[in-house]
Amino acid sequence: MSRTIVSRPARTAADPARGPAAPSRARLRVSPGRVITCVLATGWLVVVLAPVYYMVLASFRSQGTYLTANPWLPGGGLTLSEYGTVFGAGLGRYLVNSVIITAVCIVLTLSICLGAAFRIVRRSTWAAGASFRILLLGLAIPIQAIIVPLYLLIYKLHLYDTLFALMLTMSAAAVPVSVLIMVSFVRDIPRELIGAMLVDGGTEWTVFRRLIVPLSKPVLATLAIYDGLNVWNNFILPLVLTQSNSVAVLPLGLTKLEGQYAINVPAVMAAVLLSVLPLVVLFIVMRKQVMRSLGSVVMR
Amino acid sequence: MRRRPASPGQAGQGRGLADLAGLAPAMALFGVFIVVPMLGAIALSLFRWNGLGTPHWAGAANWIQFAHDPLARQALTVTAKVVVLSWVVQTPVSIALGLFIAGRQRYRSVYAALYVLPLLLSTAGIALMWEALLDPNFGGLVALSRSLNLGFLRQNWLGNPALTLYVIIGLIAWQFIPFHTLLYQMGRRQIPDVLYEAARLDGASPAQLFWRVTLPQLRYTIVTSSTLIIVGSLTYFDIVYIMTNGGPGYTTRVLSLDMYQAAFQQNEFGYASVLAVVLGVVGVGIALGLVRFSGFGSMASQQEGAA
Amino acid sequence: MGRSGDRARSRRRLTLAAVATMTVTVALAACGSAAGSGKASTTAKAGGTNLTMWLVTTGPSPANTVVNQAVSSFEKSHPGDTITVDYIENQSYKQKIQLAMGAGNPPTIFWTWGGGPLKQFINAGDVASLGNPAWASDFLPSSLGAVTFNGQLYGVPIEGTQPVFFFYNKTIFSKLGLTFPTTWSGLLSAVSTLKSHGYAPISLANGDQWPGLMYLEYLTDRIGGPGVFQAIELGKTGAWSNPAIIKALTDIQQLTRAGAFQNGYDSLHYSGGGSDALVYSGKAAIQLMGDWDVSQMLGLNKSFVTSGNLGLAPFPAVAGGTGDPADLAGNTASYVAISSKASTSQKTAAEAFMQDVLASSSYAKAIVSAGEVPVIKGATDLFAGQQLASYDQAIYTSVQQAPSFQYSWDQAVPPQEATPMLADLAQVFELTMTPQKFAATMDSQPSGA
Repeated sequence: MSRTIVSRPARTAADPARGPAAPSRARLRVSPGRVITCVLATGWLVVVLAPVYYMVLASFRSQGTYLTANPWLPGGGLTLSEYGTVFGAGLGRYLVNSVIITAVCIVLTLSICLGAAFRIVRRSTWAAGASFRILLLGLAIPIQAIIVPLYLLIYKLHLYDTLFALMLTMSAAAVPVSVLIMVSFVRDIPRELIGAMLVDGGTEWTVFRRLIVPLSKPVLATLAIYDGLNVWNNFILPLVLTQSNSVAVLPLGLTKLEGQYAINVPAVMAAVLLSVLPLVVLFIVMRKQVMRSLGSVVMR
Repeated sequence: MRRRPASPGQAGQGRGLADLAGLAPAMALFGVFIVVPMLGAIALSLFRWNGLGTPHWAGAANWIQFAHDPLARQALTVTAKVVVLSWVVQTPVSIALGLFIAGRQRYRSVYAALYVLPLLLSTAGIALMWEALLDPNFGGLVALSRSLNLGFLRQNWLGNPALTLYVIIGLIAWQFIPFHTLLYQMGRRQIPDVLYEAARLDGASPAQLFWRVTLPQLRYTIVTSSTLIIVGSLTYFDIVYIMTNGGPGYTTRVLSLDMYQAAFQQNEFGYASVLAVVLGVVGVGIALGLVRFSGFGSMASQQEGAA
Repeated sequence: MGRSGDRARSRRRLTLAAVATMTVTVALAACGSAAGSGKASTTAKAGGTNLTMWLVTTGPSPANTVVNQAVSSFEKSHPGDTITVDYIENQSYKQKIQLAMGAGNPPTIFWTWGGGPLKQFINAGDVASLGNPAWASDFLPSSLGAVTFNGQLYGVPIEGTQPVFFFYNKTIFSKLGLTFPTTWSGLLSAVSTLKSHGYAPISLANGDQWPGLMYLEYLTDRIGGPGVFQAIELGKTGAWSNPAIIKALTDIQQLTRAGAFQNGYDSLHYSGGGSDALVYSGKAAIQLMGDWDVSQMLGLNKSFVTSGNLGLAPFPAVAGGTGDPADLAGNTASYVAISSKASTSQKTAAEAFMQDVLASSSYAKAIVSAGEVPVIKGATDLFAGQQLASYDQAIYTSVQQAPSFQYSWDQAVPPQEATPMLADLAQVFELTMTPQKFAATMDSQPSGA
């Protein structure tokens, strides 16, 4: 199997879409285009970080003071009491359940969707095209629309109040988006490579296993993040399809911080920030994967 | 275009089997848990059901009610605004940011990591945080307006009928731009450098590089991202439900909220199903249209001829 | 390519499949509600009964603990019987119980606010009747109105009564030399005095829409008496166009025009504590709210309440109105009811729980310590020594003496009417809808459960 491998140009080359690269300008460290870009990008960074900072600060306040104290400065009494409330609400079990269903859903979704995306790009039979069109239809189906029939279905299948129900339904809901994004990626894998492999005596399966899967690491990483997040934060499916504490997940746990009329806002902020920590870890790990796979090799 | 396989019959069978093995799991899961309930919802739209007891056949009654309902028309208009403006706001910003973080400089990856934050937060957390920030009496913006003397920051952001919808659109953008940024980053990284080198050798300016190389190569990413934005904002529900519940008045009442209220607050599951079907049909129409219009369905690679 | 034949065939297959699925789903829905017979909950342990109970959560606060303790003491005194309690968040609860009832999969005992939604369940045959038990007389009669239909009792109070009062910042009032007004015109002049001194006269969290409803409930009652709403509840034609309602709405708009409400009142949510914060931080002077606000305020700003700064006052009388100024509006109580799908032994055990626990004075004492006002007779002795004793006593006395206690309209009307009622009323507050338009829209709603 022959490939032409070209390593990425050295980092000194300028970003092609922004800023010049002509050698005579190499001495000048900063160009006006670059400055504007950085200013705008930093501006967006502020827009992203400021509310999160606000959230962090609020999590260290109490219910009675988070509104009346200065929102931007730490003065006015910081306390860990609402973090205490979060731990006292027993969210440990919910965290474990969330981790379980997220991990299972990511693996399930990615494995069945990459195969489907590959077949769709290959266009071998009418089934591929039809499947793609059906999945596009599925993109537009809102979960709130099907929630009642779905509940009845799950109940009839004796899956009500199980983690299994969550894993199956959330994976199913992730299929259209995942396949769409994967198709957009896989189609750019050169046909010549596939053809070459087939000529060398390979089957569709070996093409998939030896060529498509390794090359799809970037899209798999991106979708692991996206699908994982959707499962992690999904509220309506666990709400409708489960009821016992033993199968409750983290978003449901947030509702434990609500009273009949009031929401313990600082505690919710604390809980949300705490629940982000595992995600941050996941994301850091995934990013390394993405960087590694993209940084070394590019296909021609 | 397709190379001749070693033995035609075997390959044909191989392909059919491959399609079955590759497509079946995903389609089966999707079919059972998404398509079947959706068909159920379509069926429900022809009945009158309050969630208890048996559904009563209503024929086209729910549909006629929908056609004559001024609130439904209002919801359609609001939804249309949300869809169009979401695309207008999110796409350029996501492209710009995606291209920015696609750059190889080390500091850019720090930016990239931080940009992802809104995506990691749960919607409930985001809604509560912004609600507190935008509070007209105690909020962070009010405090800023006082210390920086910027009067215009003191708005009734979520209560002023003229403003609220745009604020909501902005918040939705804040939540989802990180995701589309990632898509565009991935798309940009897939563009081979050789295209840029060739163009630069021909004397192209940075602006030309963008419009003549980057944007066309990003075409399919744009289609994917746009489809997701449009369909996503059609069905978007969470932040509107938590923060405004359709208010003030009916100015932020999107169709998905209308549907939820019809089902779970007014106990009219049949009518809610009508709204669900409308949403689904519109979304599907747009998705299919986009795919056809952009040639996305041809599955052709964008790199053909680049070698 | 010979594909068109394939396509036609597959399209036909697809249509068949779709039709089949549709039939199946509707059948599922239909069966679901009928199939629940006898299949209520888990199998009973040898010699005992298992019950499940769904309650609306009251958060990590004393009230949940109270129920948990009550359940344990019941299980001790009724060996072999167990109750498994699931706490569900307020907004989602309605959805969940609806789904459960519709699928025939309800818990043995379930929380209810009474009124219209409970009536819907009763009409569908989902609720077990308690008949006319003798122990029901332990409760204040006015508290059982929301769960009594056709002379039969269907629910029992599990949480205290929650009438609505005016709460006010006493410091602001004494600073301006005001006493809380007892007439509507007095309220209007207090509003203008407060406004001229830079206060937001009234704190209103109408982002939630139900706080505004409280004004309409009281004004209607003060102006036209309880009969006005009773006509609406019975679904009489033109009931909403009663002049009392129009006048009430006009009075509300008078408040808005006088600038009585704080900036951003139409987007503020009660749940975030913002409207309370306005009062205890001295930015606003008055708030019309249910009596849970006392314990809320206590939790948010203890010193504000314990130093006696939180004033409590009844809704003023309206000159020329026929309603009794001692009438109350609010949540008469929160209740639990028994599902009709429960087995006989489960029903017996559930009724025992209600009689032995919920109607007992020890339970009442427990909920007093959780900051609520119970609805059993003779509760006065229970308030002694409690932190909020003066408030408890005032509230309890009001409930005892109220000629009529109107339970919240958004619970009393059929669900289809509740949503537009709240949304349109919010528009009346914001001056974007006229009282007449409101009445006309509400009258044109299809009535009946």
